[in-house]
Amino acid sequence: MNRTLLSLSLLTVSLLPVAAADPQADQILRQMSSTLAAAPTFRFEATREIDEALLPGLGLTGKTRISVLVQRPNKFSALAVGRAGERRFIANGQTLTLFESKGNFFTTVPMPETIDALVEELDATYGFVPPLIDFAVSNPSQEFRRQSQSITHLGRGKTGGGFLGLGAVECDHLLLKGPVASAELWIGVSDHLPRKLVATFHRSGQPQLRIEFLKWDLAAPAAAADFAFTPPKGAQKIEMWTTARMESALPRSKNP
Amino acid sequence: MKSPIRLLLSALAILLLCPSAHAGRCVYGVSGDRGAAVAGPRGVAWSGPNSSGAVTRRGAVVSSDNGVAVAGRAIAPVLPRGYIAAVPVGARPIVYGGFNCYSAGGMYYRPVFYQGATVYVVVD
Repeated sequence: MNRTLLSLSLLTVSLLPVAAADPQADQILRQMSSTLAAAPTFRFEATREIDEALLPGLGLTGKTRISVLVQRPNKFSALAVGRAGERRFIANGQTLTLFESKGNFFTTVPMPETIDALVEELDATYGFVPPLIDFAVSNPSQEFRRQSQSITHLGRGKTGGGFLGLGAVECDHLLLKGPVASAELWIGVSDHLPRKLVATFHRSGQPQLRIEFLKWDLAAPAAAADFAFTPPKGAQKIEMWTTARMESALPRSKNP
Repeated sequence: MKSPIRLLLSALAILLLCPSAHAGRCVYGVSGDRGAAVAGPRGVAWSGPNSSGAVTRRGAVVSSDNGVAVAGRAIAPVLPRGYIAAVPVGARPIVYGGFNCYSAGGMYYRPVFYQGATVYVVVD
């Protein structure tokens, strides 16, 4: 009987969605998280490349340069510039505005009280999250653990840098294995800031998401104007559809 | 002794039956594999589990010399994912059903934000 109990216990525990981390990797991830969480207002810039297979048809793939400004606990602004033009996300504590320059469209929806709650709501209701938001939530390490089953420290190495590697940063190299994707994350040894992330998705073709962080400013100034949105001339306000609404709009017949 | 086993079996059943903690959630900012329509260089294509089709420069929707979009041939308004990422070539803005839409080939496309990007749904 005891053996049965033990077996069932082990099986149950093995199925729990908790990331197993080696102590060193865990500490490095926590340090990164604490560093970001301790900054009340911060700004960073990054390039993001998404393989077409990950977001087909939405025009969001390819290389995008993203600038993010965060003011905890409830203000967030992101500007993404890529081949689809400019996309802007502004959360001002009361509303979230999304603007897309290509069609000159914008939308505004009410937001919950915090960035964390906004992310949860957008993810659950609208099926997306703002770019690089994993690094703007109050506890990034928790977010990474949610996406991982195991976290391992692979060693140290330099990443980034320009010509001949000048300006490269010494980083701890982590591997986060998850059921949907596995990611390699490089975190600066001296400043504990994320420098690079490469996530490989377990789908056909192993498509990737690649993020390279270019600048961090953990003492960035922020003004109210940074989180205000004035529609450009001729901009048209359109609705933001939930995933449920889009599902209900699907045609009954799929045979043309 | 039976109750701990029942408890464990119940916990196990819940874990096995419930969707994974990751189901339907964005991972590293990428949403789940919900599929999508594809806009190609030659127009708009769509694909789904049971069908596929295309509106191309030479196909269903073409622009005439005076700029008015006309239907080249009949194409059923079937968009398996419910939307397309770009309106067909030659589509022109029009108010339809109380919404600002685009018209091409006798069909009306309404822009909406979906999953953080602009897409166009067919207005009935």
